[in-house]
Amino acid sequence: MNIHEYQAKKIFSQYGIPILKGCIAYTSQEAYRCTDKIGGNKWVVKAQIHSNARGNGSFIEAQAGTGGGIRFVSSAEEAAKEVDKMLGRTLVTVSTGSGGQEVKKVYIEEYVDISLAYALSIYIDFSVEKVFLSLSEVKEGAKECRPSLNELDINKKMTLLGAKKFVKKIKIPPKHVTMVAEIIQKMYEIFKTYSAFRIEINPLVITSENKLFALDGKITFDPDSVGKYKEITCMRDVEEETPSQIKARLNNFRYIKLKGNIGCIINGSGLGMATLDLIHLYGGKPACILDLGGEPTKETVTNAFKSILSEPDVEGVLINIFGGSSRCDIIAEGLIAASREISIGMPLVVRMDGTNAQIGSRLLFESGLPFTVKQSMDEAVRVIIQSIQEIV
Amino acid sequence: MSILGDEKTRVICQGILTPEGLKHTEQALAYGTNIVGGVAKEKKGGQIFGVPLYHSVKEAVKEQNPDVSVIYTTPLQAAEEIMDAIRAQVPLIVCTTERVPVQDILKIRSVLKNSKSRLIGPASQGIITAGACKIGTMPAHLFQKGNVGIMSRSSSVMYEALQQLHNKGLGVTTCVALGAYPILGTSFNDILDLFLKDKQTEAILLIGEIGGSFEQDLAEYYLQKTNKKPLISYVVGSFVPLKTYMGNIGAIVSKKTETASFKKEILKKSGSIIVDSPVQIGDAVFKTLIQQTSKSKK
Repeated sequence: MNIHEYQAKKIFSQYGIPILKGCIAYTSQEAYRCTDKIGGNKWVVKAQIHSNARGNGSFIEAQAGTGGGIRFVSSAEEAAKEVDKMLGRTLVTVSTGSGGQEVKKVYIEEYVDISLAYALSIYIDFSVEKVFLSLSEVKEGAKECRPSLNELDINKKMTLLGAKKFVKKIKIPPKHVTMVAEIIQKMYEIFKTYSAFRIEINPLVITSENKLFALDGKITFDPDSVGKYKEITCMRDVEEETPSQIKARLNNFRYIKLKGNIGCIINGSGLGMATLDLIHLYGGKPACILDLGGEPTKETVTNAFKSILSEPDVEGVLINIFGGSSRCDIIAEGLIAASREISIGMPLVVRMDGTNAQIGSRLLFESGLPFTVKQSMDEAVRVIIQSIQEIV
Repeated sequence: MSILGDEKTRVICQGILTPEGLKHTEQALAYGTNIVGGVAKEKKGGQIFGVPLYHSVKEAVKEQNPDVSVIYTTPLQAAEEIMDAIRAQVPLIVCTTERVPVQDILKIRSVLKNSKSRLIGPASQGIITAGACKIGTMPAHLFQKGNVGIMSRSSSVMYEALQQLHNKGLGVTTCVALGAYPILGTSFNDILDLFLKDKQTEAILLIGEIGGSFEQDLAEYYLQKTNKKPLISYVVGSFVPLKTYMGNIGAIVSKKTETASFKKEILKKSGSIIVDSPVQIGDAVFKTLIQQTSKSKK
């Protein structure tokens, strides 16, 4: 689970990591209140979406003006104008995909002159199952410099001495070493306290007045532990979820959107990937994968089936079930119930094997509904691809 | 012969009174598993299905001296349950709980290194030795006795493979579900060693996934082995787009070394037979075993 910059900064400030004065605005009117509250005569207006490199992004709508998701202003009126341009508009960045993400709020922050910038992060690298601390210098216009990396032992505390030794590995003014080391200690404390996957400050800056600030902040939490921390759970922004993510979360199944025309209902993530493998090997293209999980109820199956039939790209549905812990007869009942409620104008192939497969297949057959039932995955995938081709 | 468990293996169950614990203990007993105790912290004494209950792992270990403890609990309690079993020096701990916080398991892993226990999981469906014992949540009726050993990161693909083996008249010695999780207590390498030592196991089937480096590690390890047995590998997820979450945070590709094609390539170089299609697993194992038999006759 990701959170916004302004939320990460709230956590940073609670732990004593220095941040600039800032204020969140949902309307252009609020921009006046914000600039007033922050003071000074120069500010930065920052779009709040879950994304990297917002500054280098661009908006889809012309009304948003040129410029990316981070803009510099020098009057309250100008701030309000920029807020107005961004709100409700779609920002496209390297991490949003071409569809972009709608900006629903902006963060207004005091402006500082940057003299040096660094990227600092602590993260779990799942490919090697280890925790790393990374620090590198960031230079204007240049690519990020090679980071200094350290593996961290999750069962050990980070000492100030250890952190200082690490900081000294990169070029950093001596007077700031201790403070950066303290920031690392605090980041690690947040990382461990909230069982995070990743915590990042990029950039961490030294201003022309020789002060140190976290100019941006990102924290990714473990979705499986976030429930433990009420203060974090309430930071979930449902508006950042895609419609399919919301649908899946509400219906208790998992949904993965792909580019193709075969809608797939499966049980188990491994079987889903295997189904994907086989469809591709036989020249087909899956539109989506809907995972019913371990032991679905009849209602879950009914909702899943209805939901996949309503997908615009879907031209045929493959239901590939291997009943291990889940029972094929319950899945058949769910499919039949859904088919009685809505009309189906496309090929439907059901593959059932394993627990209660015979009962399930018989139920489908006796229902008189247009299901083609196959016992092997091989046949089922061939048939669905062929049936769709025949229609087209 | 088998690995990790047989009909004599003494099994205790942590969280025996949870819905999952009750269901699978009953099924395991019906399968003939030697379940010698259950841990239910809220209870002092008593029995369930004729199995004595204990209020702590420590007490259960003292009274029953188990070989294995299988854990059915909620995600946020899993770490504490695993720690209890490690402290009580249970030799093999099988954690079936899904969605355990990752940092909890990272912490446990370094404790495990200096302990007397081996952990399988978390998010493992367990271990089945055909005809002898069922530890965990796998449906026992799919497992027929034979001479293939299976180690898998995906239980659903393992069930699929079992059916294909069955259709070919083949069966299994022991099947181990390592867990649908990015950080595993036990990886393929340890299980490979056990299968290589097991006389009954004549071929080993590896079911890998995208994400992580478990298959690469196994390939490098298998390459060095001198007492090889045939290894047949299927790595699922060749067509999953980059960085797509398929339901298991362990199966996400963020680096080239985590793709199915990279893993298949390195496994092939190590001498493993590679299966590209999920419907040809049974065939590949069958052919390998036939070749093996004709070789040994010569």
